[in-house]
Amino acid sequence: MSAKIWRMIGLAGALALAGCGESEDAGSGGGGSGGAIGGSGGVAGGAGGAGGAAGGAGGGVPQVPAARAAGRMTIEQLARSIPVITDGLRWTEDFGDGPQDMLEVLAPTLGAPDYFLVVEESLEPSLIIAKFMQDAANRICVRWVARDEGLPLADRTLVQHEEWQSRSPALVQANIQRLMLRFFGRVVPDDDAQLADLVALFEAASEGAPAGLAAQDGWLSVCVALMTDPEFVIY
Amino acid sequence: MDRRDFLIRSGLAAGAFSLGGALMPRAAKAAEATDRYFVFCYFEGGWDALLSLDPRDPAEFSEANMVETGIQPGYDRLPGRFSRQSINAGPFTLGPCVGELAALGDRFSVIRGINMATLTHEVGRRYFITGKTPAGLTARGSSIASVAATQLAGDGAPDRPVPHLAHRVESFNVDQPAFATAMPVAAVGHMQYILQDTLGIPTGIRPNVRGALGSYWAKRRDYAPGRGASASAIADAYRENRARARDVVTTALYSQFQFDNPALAGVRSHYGLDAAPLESPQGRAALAAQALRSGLSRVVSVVLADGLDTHDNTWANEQSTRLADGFTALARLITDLEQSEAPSGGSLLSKTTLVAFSEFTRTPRLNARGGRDHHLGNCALIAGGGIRGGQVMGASSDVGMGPLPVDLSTGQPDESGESITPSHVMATALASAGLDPSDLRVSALPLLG
Repeated sequence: MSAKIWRMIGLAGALALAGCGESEDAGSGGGGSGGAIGGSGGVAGGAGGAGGAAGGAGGGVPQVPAARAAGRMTIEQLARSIPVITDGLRWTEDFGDGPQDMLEVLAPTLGAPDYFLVVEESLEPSLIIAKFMQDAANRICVRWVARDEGLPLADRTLVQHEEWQSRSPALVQANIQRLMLRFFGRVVPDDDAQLADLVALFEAASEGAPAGLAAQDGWLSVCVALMTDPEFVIY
Repeated sequence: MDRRDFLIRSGLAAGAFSLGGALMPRAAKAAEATDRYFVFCYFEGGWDALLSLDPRDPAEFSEANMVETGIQPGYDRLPGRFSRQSINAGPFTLGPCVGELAALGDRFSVIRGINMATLTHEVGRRYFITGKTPAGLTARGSSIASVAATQLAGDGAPDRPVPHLAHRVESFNVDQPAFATAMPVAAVGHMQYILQDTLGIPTGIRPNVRGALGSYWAKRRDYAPGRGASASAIADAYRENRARARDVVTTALYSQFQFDNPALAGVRSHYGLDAAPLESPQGRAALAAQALRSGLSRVVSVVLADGLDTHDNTWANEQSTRLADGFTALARLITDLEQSEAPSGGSLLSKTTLVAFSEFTRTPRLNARGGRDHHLGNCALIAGGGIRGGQVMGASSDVGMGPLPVDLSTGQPDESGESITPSHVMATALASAGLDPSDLRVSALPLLG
């Protein structure tokens, strides 16, 4: 696949998705059911539904504070956020014509607007978004782990304890807490259920690793888990 | 071998794995309940009804009486390989540019005299795709393809990893579950990469990491109940789609779309893909058939012809050729599905509803540039399970080819009747599979049986 072909893919994808903007409009106009996610229309409809429910229950006095409905990050937000999290890493591939930013190349297929045919982005968490988030995480996390392992402590952004290879449960837990703050923007207490599961994930991936690569596989698994987590992709 | 070749060949090697067992048993189980499929075939740009589904005899509608009839078949201007006459397709006549479809007249029905009430591409297209009149340019409902995908899943989860696949056809989802949203594919050749883990690029992630992540994801916990984004319905939909995405990449489905794979020689031969490029009407028809046959999807929307917006003198060569190629691809799709067995028995065609449509037809008279402009009327083709073949519903007038009112209970012209609209066509499609078309607020045409 050459870069040229991927660009053609992108353009064709834009054509394929030319109606997404309209679906958003239609969704906001028509409202949406609470349980259904109907693309961006569903998101907009969800917001309307929440307001309606609150008003109905309280007889004019909302019992649930009005809030912005949760939404998926746009492709541009993802493309900008990932380098912030990883200190500069993007999902790039070189098919022989130099590095290509894959989120840019795949943007039309993923529903990003081109401001020609598509002016609004469908923000639903579709299968293809979920699939490509995993692809992106697979590629970026491998590079992040490899780069981080070779850096002095002060320059690292993934593992922030002195002994990179350490599998000390206390150090691993503390580092995962730092990473959760980095990815999710929240301080995680020691008794957090997801923290416990991520520590277990680190251990499980480490235990099956080839000799000398236990920490590498552990941090790789944690990175992929965090980058594909709804709390990162949805805000 | 450069990296590009390496990647492609790596994919081919991996494609030798057979279709994974994880998917098909689920599919087969659900198939017992509702083993139904849909293919929506879009002819992009506005097709010429006179050349295809609503012809006129050029002896009767001649250049001499063109002023009175307002109809100019123009068959004499077509390239020499096309007939100068309409074609006897058995139960009805068709225009000279329907390719191999002419031999299958008993397998499909034609709906003529559809009132589009628009001359705008986007409006006509979205009217057909949703079965509802758009509000301005904006679609006012979900794609019928999404509605079908939802209803085919019943009360449970869909039994196909990609319930609705769309090749370059717009899709809308304003009130259906997330799984019913189309997965867009921009080109036939992309399917094999989209369906592979990390586009088929070796990642170097070891099995122990994959295994640990699989166990972690399998928990599917909401770690922040009641709090913010993680607790939202959209997060649940993301988790659901994340799991389905892993199903897709672990079942080796991509091998069913590697059309140069020797295992798909029969498909290549049927659609003539040794001579035609993959991104052609034939390739797109093959994509639709493979999506249904492989267990990837139950509903596929695909562009079978594009570039039909022929306002100038390209009409004679391009409209005719592209129409014929699109209808030939459709004919091969019909025969392919007819020769394929459905999971619940019988032919796949008997379980599939096919609808071919365009946003409108072209004017019945050629303009000063030798092309045809946009016309308010339209026609459509419907075939497959639950549809009686060889029928004609509705009609266009013999003066100006305007849509005639019909008695909707018979489908025959009736001055006191109503116009057929895209809503009727899509209601008929849904009803043919036993699905509920009531949201369209019209009844199905009497084509069921």
